[in-house]
Amino acid sequence: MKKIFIVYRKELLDVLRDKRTLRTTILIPTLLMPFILFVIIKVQVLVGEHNDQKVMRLFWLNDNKGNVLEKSLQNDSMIKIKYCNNIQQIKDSIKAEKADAGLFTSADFSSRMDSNLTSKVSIFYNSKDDVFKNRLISKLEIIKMPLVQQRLVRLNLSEEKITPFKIEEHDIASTQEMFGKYFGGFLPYIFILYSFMGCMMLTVDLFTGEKERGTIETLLTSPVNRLQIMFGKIGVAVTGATLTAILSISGILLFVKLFGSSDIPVEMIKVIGQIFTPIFIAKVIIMLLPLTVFFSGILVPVATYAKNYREATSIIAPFNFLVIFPAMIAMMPGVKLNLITSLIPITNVALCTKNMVAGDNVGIYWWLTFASLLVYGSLAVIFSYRQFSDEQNILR
Amino acid sequence: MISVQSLTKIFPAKNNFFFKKKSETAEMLSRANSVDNISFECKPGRIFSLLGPNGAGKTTALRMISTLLKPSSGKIIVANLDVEEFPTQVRSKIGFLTGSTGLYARLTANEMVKYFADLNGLDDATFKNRKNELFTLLGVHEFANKRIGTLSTGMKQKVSIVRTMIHNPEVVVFDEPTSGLDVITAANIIELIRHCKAQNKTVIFSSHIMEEVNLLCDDLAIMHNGKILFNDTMEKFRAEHGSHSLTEAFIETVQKN
Repeated sequence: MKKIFIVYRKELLDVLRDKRTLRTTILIPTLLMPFILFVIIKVQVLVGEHNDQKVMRLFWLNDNKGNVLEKSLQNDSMIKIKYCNNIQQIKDSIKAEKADAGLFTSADFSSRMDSNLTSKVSIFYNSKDDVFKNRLISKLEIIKMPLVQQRLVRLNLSEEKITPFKIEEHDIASTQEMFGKYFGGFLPYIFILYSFMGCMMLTVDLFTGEKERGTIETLLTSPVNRLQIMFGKIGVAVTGATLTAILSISGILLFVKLFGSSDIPVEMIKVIGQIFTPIFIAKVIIMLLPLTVFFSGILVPVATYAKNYREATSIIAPFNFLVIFPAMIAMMPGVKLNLITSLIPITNVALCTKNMVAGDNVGIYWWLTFASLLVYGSLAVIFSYRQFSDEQNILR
Repeated sequence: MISVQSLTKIFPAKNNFFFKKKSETAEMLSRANSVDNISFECKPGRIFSLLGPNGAGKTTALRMISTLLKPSSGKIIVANLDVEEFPTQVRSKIGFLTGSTGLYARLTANEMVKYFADLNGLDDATFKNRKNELFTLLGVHEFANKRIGTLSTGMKQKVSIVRTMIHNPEVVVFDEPTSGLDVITAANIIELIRHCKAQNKTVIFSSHIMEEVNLLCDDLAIMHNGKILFNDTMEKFRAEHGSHSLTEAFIETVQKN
């Protein structure tokens, strides 16, 4: 145990002095990623505001002139109507981005309105950017409401008589559950990915780097066995990867706290505070530890085999998909935490965290996740040890 | 003392991380570095040299002595310990030095030496005395707190020597220790080898430079294609080859076989 600690202490000091490792494991997750997220949110808000304030260029057929819709829309300062002669011209203008939307009503629109019949209104838009479609539909709904009322008066009907039932929605989900639904899958995806990246960088530096720098022979001829060396090194990789994951979440939370108040509703910020309790954080870290051991366990054989950093990263590249895919499964709708999913590595951590974010009681599934990861982590370490002990790999 | 008895090493061929199948190239490479039934003995207070061309199997033999590789067959005894039965104990008795310094660039000389002293289980007092003695002898004090990555090759080699000798090993293994070094740095190594002999340590070193061997060694084994072609004292080798220069004698021995 003492020798494991000696190796651990030295390796920790060594990686803490490596700028490349520090950049990947500390600087990027803590500052850069949250900053990028912040910029993305800010840009989205600005683009949304810009679109809301932009006057809509609406193409209108000359044949449809003079009906009630045209008159109402003409009075809207946020809409500028342009006239054209055929539908093809509307479509071409939208495609060429000369128009934001187009509208076409049947020729007998007004007469059908007068006869209390239903008229057809066709709208044209490009679904690449449906902001204007939504705005146009909202405007048409507003115009439709008084027309319906007028028709009811004319027919001497009350609204109740033509409404067999009304649907009232009562969403019993708390804000926290809503938050869990939308962001619960995203958060574990981020920290699982970061812990893998951190683990990868450190494992390659600690194992392949030792070979590349020519220090492996020196170390292996000292009175410390290979298991002790491997445990010391894996210890550093696990510490670094867990730290990276924690920092990636802390970074996002820090940015929310410092800069999010203007763009994120106060209630949401309050919920974030309620979610990230010490117990929540402890439960996530405890799950992350065997997960990072598992990551290390699958990366050590590659890092031991590779002659240099370049070879190691090229062999490890496909492993990224093996991590991303199970983490993404948890973001899919309908995928729930159960007896089976709690035994699937990576997916189980993502689902457990997602449920915990939503405030659900994960109970037995958390223990199943933790226990299964311990088993997978141990198996991966045993496999690693076999590869690390293989003299053909280590002195390749 | 080192006793090598009927030592053989065969490397199984391996050529890909995902698909481990045999290939002709891998087979050829493994044969080039193998060792074929060799025996020799290195005695305390004498310098034993393994001489041979590249790929002769010298490094493989030294790696087996240092417990880095496991023999396919045969026996190695180092300081009265069987290397296969007691590898950790054997490693605490040996110092291993190669031409490539094998140092951690991000550590200081002090940290590097302390790390290996800790791995060797040295107590604080012994470590301080030993470090002070070696640092003074080699003039390491002035750059002891500088990161190794910033040191010159000569300085690095001095740190490497301290690292090798910090636990005062009974047996010292030098694998082509002067390879790639300038004359002055190489002279430090030669001085160290002589110093080890004077301290009655068992010294084995590999080389392909005849002049170096002539300068230092007491006993000599010439290796080629994994086999030992000559194994006796240096005096006998000189006597056998009379008027020939030693380099010519070495080439003649290798070509004859």
